Amino acid sequence: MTEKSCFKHNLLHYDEGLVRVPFLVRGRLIVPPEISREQIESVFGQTDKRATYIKLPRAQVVREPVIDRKSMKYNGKYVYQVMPAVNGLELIETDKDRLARGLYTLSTEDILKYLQSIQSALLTNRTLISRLRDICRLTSEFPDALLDGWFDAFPTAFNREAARQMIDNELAFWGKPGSDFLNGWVELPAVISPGLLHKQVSGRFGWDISPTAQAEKTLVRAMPTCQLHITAGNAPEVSVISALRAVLTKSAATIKLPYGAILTGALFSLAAYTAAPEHPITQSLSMVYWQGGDDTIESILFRPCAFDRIVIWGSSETVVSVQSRALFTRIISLNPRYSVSLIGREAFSGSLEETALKASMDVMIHNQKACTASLVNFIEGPEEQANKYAGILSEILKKWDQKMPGFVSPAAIGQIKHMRRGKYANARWCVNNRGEDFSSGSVVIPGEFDILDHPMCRLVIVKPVNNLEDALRNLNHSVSTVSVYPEPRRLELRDRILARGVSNVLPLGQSERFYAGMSHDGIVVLSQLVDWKNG
Amino acid sequence: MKDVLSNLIKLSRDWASGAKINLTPARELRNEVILHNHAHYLDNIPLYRKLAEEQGCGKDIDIQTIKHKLMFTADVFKSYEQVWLDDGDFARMTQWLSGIYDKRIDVDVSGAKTIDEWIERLDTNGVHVVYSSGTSGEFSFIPRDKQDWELSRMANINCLTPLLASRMAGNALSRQWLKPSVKLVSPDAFAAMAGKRELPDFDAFFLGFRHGRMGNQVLIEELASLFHRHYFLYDTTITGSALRMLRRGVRTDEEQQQQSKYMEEIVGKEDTHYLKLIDNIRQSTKDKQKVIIFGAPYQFMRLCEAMNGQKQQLALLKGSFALFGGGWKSFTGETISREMLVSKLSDSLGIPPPMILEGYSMTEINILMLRCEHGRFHIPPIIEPVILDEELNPVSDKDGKGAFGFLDPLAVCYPGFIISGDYVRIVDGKCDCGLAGPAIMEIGRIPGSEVKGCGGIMSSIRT
Repeated sequence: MTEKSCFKHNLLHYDEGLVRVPFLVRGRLIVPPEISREQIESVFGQTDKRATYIKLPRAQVVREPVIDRKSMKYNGKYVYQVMPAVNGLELIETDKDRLARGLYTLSTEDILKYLQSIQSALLTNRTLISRLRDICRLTSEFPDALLDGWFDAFPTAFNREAARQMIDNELAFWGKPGSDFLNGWVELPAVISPGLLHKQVSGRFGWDISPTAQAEKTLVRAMPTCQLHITAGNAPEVSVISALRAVLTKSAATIKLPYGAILTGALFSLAAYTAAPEHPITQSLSMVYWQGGDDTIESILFRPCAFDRIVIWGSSETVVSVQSRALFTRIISLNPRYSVSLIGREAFSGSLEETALKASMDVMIHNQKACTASLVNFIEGPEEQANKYAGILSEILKKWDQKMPGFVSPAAIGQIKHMRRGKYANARWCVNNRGEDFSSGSVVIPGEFDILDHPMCRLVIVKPVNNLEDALRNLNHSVSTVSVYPEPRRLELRDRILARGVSNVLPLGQSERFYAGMSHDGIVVLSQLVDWKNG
Repeated sequence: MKDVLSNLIKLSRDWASGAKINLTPARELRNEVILHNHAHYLDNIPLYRKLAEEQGCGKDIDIQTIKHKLMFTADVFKSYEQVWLDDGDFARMTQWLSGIYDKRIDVDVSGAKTIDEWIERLDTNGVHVVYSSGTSGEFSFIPRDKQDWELSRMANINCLTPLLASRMAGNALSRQWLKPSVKLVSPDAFAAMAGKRELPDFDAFFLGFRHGRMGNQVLIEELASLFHRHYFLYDTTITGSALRMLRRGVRTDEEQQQQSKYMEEIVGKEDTHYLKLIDNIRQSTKDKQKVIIFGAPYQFMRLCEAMNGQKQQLALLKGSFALFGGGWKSFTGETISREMLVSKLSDSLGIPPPMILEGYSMTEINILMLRCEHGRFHIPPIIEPVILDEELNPVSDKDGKGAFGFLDPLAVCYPGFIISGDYVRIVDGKCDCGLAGPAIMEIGRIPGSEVKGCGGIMSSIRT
């Protein structure tokens, strides 16, 4: 079915540099108009050569540079993703009664069945997934092995059991599973305080207006919300995670797809449209792209009451921009964060190679683009030991480069040169190159380091500290995860690290781990995406 | 090498005078000095040697390799640790400065408590340090010895005098001796003559402080003595420690008191200072003196605003002019349009637009580039400009955009192969103004680079 839809509308095919991308707009599949490559190139030719986006009367086009997979460098060609235009007004659900009568009445079981239908649509369309993976490979900054792994695992994201665990755990309340609250009203064994006025009325007016037995029940439910998710492109799954969270809370949602990961969102849209086109969830779901900051769309979406929640993933600029313009909507901000590793002196009395290998696993998460990826390794010991560790770590990163070549953007290459020939020129650099260009490495910086200088491309800042406790002053809310070696030191420092705003303290080499229902940036996200109603 | 440099400066002076010159010999001379400087840096500047070793470069290399591998970014001049300044650890600062200097700096700085005291100690030992600051308050420190200072001064006088003379029609300087001097006199002698002749029919007004070590401040003090009379907006000294404190915040009660004092002077009495300066400009005009005003764009805007509140408009004598520089964007993020500023200056001070000049420079380079009436900042043949792409590789387009870098042959005692934080468009070829060679057309900041420039620092203090 999904493949048929693609064939019918010539969607998600790579055709001489063009890929036609559909949008899902509240149950309707919107396809882009026919535009030739010549027309597109002619418009891009009139813009700055660094432009990545053009807006046409009935369409929008994003262009991404093609990465040669052998050299992992841009080859001068582009993939153009042709998408339909977006009307902001169409993305807002104004008929709340429709929601109350339809989407909001769904049971958890209905949600799980819906996800199952999407999963089976994907599983029966492996060819489409493979084709999309091949298209993504043309431009993806991720190593092929990581990208392949992600696409292979894509259908499992809609696993029924995992979905139930998320609902039951993230929406659990008063010791009851979350699905109860999502299904409808749940009576709580609460001790009621009627309030001050109740006593006043009885005492002063002499009227007995005690609540009826029925009204004395304390009922709570997790009410769905209207959600706008502004997602980021640092990982291909971000838009899918957002969509999944909207589905699990049976909420009407608009997901803004990010530059760099539009196609994975489009795949989800297509699966939803073909698997369950009339389903209330599909009918209330939109997955679209517009260029961030486009006021013709965002001025509509950021109006008061257009949405109940706005979820923002992305750069600090995006977060600040949205927060300043959507003043009256509750915002869940998944801020840009980074991670670090703390390696105790015990590492030098054991196998330093093994420790460095574990540390490299925390570095390599999403090619160091994820917020859980370690950017800085604090080494307990003198500078000489830090130098030794940095050398071993660089050798291990070289092996990663050989086994899983990564892409380093021109901007990152430039940034590393900026660092080596500027502020950090005095530091000890231990760098691996592919050809003349940086591929990975470490740099020992005993003094100050500004995390905003980090290029996030397999570069580890190694900082010697006399004691791991000295590293604590570098920890704050911007740090997502701290991985620690050895385990006794992790347990010893765990609470002190967390008290500084860090969300996860995990054993070295395990920063990537996750489970269904896990908190995200210190938030149990599903519980924030519903309204806890008393009725 | 002194003769080669002297010839290069002389050729640049010929170029500035509008003479039709072949730029190839200038390039050859320039390359010779640059390669000589490379060998000198390699032998004498530790950090340059480290970079060269990392890049696998020895003495025997070409200009292209220097552009590819041996250019520092301007951040190298702030590759020290802020905590050293916070803690007043000037011994470590001196040690750091030695790393980017061609001589071991063996100066006892014990007892120095402030940036200014530290610089003063270095100064008395022949190391002249200038600093600049950006929005972060992290200072760049550039060390120069006496020879480099003199070289820079001589080169600027040789290049700027002919350019300015063409604008200052009617001035004795241009009428009587400039033309023959351009052809015959050596750069040393030319600079000495220009210095001696002075500008007796001009009074100068500087929209800055009387003393200080910030980049443009040093230029101000150099220039001031050339004029019949000179005045400053703030008749006081701006210290490095105060500037740093104002950008990075106060830490002690003493600093709090200092901050209050500066804020009162700079912000509280700002209008008074501008009005006093206007009175002095008026008096100079009454005395039949031409007027030259130096400052940053936003300072000129403030001057115009103060003028607009006056009943009597100023009508400066013919030949008066304004010279501004230091960036169009203030630290507050406010951008001033050039057209608006020129129009306001023209209306408020009666200076015709051709006499409103703009200069482009930075603390790390030894030359001031003047914008011609066709909108180009012409780069004198002394300097080898380099445009670098996103990967910081040099590009060779005749009309290219990218990070602005330069190989500055006048920098001998510190590494002069620098990539700035400015994003520019450079064009090459003959300009309608008569000058040839590369010129900068558009100037912006590279994304992620802090707003920088001496001109903007005052704006940051006001807010």
